[in-house]
Amino acid sequence: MQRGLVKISRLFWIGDRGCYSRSRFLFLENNKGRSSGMKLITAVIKPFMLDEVREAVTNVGIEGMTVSEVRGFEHQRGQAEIYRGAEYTISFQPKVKIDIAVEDDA
Amino acid sequence: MKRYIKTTAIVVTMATMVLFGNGDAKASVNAETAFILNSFSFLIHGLLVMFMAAGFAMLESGLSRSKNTATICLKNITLYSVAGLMFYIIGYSLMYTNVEKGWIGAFEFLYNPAQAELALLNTDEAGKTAANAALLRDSTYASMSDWFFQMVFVATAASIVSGTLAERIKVWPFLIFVVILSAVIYPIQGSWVWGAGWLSQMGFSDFAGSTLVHSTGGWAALAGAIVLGARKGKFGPKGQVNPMPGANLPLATLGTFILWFGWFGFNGGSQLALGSAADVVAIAIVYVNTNLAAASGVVVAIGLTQLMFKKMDLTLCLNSAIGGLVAITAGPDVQQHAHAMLIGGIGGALVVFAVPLIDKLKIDDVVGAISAHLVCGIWGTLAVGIFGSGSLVTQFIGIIAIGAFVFVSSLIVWVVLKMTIGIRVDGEAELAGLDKTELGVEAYPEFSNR
Repeated sequence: MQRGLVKISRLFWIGDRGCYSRSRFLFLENNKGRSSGMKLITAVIKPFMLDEVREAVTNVGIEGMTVSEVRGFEHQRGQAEIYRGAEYTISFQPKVKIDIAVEDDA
Repeated sequence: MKRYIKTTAIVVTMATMVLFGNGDAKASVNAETAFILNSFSFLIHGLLVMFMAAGFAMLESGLSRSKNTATICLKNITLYSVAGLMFYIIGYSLMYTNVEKGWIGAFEFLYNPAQAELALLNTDEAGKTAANAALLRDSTYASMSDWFFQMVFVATAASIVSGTLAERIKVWPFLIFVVILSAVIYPIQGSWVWGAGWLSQMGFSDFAGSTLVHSTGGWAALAGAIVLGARKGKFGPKGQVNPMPGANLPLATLGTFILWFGWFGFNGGSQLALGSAADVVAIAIVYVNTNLAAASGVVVAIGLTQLMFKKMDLTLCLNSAIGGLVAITAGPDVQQHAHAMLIGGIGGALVVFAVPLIDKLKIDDVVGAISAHLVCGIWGTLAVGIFGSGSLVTQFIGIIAIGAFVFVSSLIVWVVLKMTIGIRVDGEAELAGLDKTELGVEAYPEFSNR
């Protein structure tokens, strides 16, 4: 399964509202194994977008997904917060990781 | 209908005159009823103050990180117990027995009911009346009801120390400090005022303990924080403050509400009597002032934090509620309710300014106890000199005398503890959390991922 893992780094946009720059999810990994005939799509998204993503992928015929709670940071390097008058940065934001296995030609 | 009401009113008036004479006779209660009501006030108000121990436990649990929660809880229930035992064994006598305008009370161990009270309990049916009369001749309340009421105050002072030093202090040295605080330090300074010692002779006024309880706890906490040092990583090398957000803000809010609730006992019970209409009027004024001061503290804090930090700050609002309460504690009997609002509002503002200031001084106060209890305790005591009956100079002398005594004696105890058994957990234990290293347990084992 692990052989031939390729990073495709393709942006994938869902929906049509302006705010979707926030809901961007990255295809980070893609299994192109010669023999399996399957792809593993991994996406890391903001937690509150999970229901919407689920609806979008089930609408295109995906039948199953695995969801994990993870933490990470992206280009803004964490988020500034204030506690008792002192600012600080949350270095890792909670994210949701989605794994979807699909047919190679899907 | 109208006529019916009128007739009823006349009948009631006549009945009242028949029952209570023609109206100018004094309707005050007899000595035994006053005895019962006074003792009842001590007991029921003491119960309210006792519940403040739960408030402190929740506030401190909420404002510290989850890896130290179980330790905080353990410290709070043990400090309440230790303080109660020590105040029974020696503290109460040192504070209240034979102070006689002096500096310290009697070294008598174990405080027990008065002889007249025991005589009443143990006499046979024939001797009851005489024993009852003998008791009521000398006292106006049950002696142990007063003991109970005073005991819960020393527990409050000890709780204040616990919050400041959270997340890095070893439990045993902390408990040794609580023993000394509740057996010696608190009773000695308390005897100067409430034991009718030298400060009360000067006219120093502290109704329910802004200085005697709250500043005392605050000074002891300040001394401890200086000797103990800040938590690892709290202050960066370039002087920056790294916040360590509390684990559970709903719990901190609940704790604050419990403290607010208990404060009605703290201030209301400090009228020390419920045996006359005058007492009840005074207690009612105290309740209202107590609530107004806390509410003003919160409202000022929410406005100030919005202005200063562009965001409302929940935990500072919680501290400011306490700050308002501490500030009014020295003079909750002020007869102008507007003054109570002013005193509490300034207390709330002081907290908002003091918390970042104390951070700047590199003193690590986990729950803001020094700001809320020490700073506002000083302000509230001075406020009695401004708005109340006291003299500003005398109030100032009292603040300095008690502050110096408590701070210096606490500092000595902390330094001695540090040099002998050590007061701080080692660095690795601090990072792992005191729950693991001191208790071997986790407060939230199902959420142990961080």
